[in-house]
Amino acid sequence: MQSALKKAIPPYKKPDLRLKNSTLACPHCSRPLSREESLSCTECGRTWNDVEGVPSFASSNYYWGEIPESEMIQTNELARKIGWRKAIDEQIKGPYPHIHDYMTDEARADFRFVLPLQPQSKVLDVGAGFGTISFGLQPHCGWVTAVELIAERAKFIEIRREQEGLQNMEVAIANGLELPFAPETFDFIVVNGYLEWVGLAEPTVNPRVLQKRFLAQLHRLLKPGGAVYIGIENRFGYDNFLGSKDHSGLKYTSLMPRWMADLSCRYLLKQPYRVSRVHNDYRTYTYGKRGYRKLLSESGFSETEFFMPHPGYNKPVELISLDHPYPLQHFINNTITPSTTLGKIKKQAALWGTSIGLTSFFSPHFSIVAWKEGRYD
Amino acid sequence: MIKEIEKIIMENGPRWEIPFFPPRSLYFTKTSGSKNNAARQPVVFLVFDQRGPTPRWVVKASRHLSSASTLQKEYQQLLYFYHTLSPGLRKAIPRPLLSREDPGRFLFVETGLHGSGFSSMVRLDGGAAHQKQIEKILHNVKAWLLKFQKETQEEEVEITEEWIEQNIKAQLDQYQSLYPCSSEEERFFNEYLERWKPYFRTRLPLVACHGDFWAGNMLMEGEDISVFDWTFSKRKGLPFDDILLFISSFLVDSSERSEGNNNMKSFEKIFFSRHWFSQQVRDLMVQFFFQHKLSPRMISQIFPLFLIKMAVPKEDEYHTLRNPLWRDRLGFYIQNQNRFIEI
Repeated sequence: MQSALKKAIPPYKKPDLRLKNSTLACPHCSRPLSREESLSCTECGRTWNDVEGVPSFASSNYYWGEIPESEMIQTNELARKIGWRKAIDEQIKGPYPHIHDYMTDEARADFRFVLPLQPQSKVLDVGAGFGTISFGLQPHCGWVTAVELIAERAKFIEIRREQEGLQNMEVAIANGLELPFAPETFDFIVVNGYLEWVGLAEPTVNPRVLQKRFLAQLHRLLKPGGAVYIGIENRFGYDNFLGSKDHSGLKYTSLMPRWMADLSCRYLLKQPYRVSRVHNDYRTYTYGKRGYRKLLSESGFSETEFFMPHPGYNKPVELISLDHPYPLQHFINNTITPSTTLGKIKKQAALWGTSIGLTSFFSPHFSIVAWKEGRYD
Repeated sequence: MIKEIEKIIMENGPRWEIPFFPPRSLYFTKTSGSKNNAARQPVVFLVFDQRGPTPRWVVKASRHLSSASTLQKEYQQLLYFYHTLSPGLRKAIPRPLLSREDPGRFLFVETGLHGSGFSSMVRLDGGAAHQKQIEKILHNVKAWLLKFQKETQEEEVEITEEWIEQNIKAQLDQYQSLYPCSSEEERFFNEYLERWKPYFRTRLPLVACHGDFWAGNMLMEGEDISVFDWTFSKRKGLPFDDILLFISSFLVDSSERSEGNNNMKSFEKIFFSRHWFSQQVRDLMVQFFFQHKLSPRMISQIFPLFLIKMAVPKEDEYHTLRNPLWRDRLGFYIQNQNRFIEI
């Protein structure tokens, strides 16, 4: 009798809270997804596969990364065996020390302090990379969904999530222009170092149109009163004038009129830079403060706040409000302490420039918080 | 968190300032101190309004439960100093306004300070104007520190065998338990302990210490110095640590603050070379020791003690990254003690 009962009652399985709270929905009809045999939409019948435990909504096996694909695959395999931390210490720390910091530095999610995150907030991290920001945000909100197009990175996030036993987080492989979520799902959306690359998704469409489509989609996914956080370069950042490389792989292209940047890319760019293939035109659009404000307003966002991240949006140790000259004046006054006469002249010029908005115009990076209309509860 | 801070300010402002002129709008700078280990430091918000580029309020919040106690301690120390110091010095430190303890977090509000940061870069080929400017900085900081120390001095301690056992031997033991010492180091430590004997019965003043007294934590407006970040302050300690830390934090003929090599080179140039800046440092130290009625020759005993203390990580200290640098400096001192500035 007892053995019969044993057969009849299935063994207890700890419920996977991720399935219960999952925010994933059909990218076409926004209905919740079922996860019986494979991931499928009950409404339109479409199905998607899991890639080693990570739901994948992307059709291509596109790979780009500072770490070559073969090394990333090895790192993931090692992470499964010996733990993610030891694996990156062994595989990444030596050859790519800055990537190692990038993967582990909790302070990369420091912009959270300018967002009104609540213990029940739902956050989406688009272009999550190695998930450092998602893991930094996770202890401070109710739910984090990390979306990443590169499967190997998404797998890394999933391995780390599983090893840390986090039940308030999920990972998905998806294209930023077709995000698998229902409208009004998230309180906050994080787009750190991603918006400028959106133009590469469809080579036949104008990058600005794609960026607007992407932002309008984020606007739809936000709850009323929610906000999107964008970390991005300034088109007119002073470093661009000093000859730092633009996303195109060439110098000065962000400063050129778009048609001239197109021609430069067509004739001067011989090798792909941070992408899998050479594009015939300039597609990684960045803007100035006014340009971002216009783009966001055209995408439906009612209010925008600008900060200057220092040393950069990938590590916002300091976030200086650019909505008034005083915070920037204070920053210049207290942080820049030149000992030479030329340095002092430069400092005075920068201080003078803040009062007419000129210094913030040349800020190398921006951290932007754009709000959706409505009351945030 | 910004919305929360706005609420705190609007609710409590009328208690802090009478009459209270509510800000039309608030603007924020979020900062975390050092960029090298930002995730371990508390979060600091500088809150500006339409009045000017000096933050009207500063809000410090702990990131984790583990750092809450450090902030609590800082708030208590600020309260103590603010109510102990004379009105003249009180203006030079932040006024603590409010503290709040939530589950897993501690935050406090203090007033912002006037002034601008100043350069701690020294160019040895700098002209008379540069030399004069550095001299002015050294003079103003020394004057402020001496005033602060005079006001907070409560008692003196006599150098005895027991005092050496408790204060110097204990530090050395801790150092030796942390770092493997070479025979040269051990020999130095033994001689060093012996060299304290001539100073028996000398009385040392016990004063309050800031604990992180370097140019980055100071603002200057004319001749006035303001000092913030009282996280590592102590109510009782030896008066030399602050001044030695301040002098050590100067960068001599160096462009990059973060590079360890530059720090070592600066250290060598300040304390082991002869030029106008080392002369200024020597004069400053002589005046400082005389003000405390001590022989300037004591620096040869005080300086190694300071280096040992800095190399040993302290409890609750979140910038332990610095300790190895101080250990290297101690090693350098041991090897080059003959070249150390003569006073």
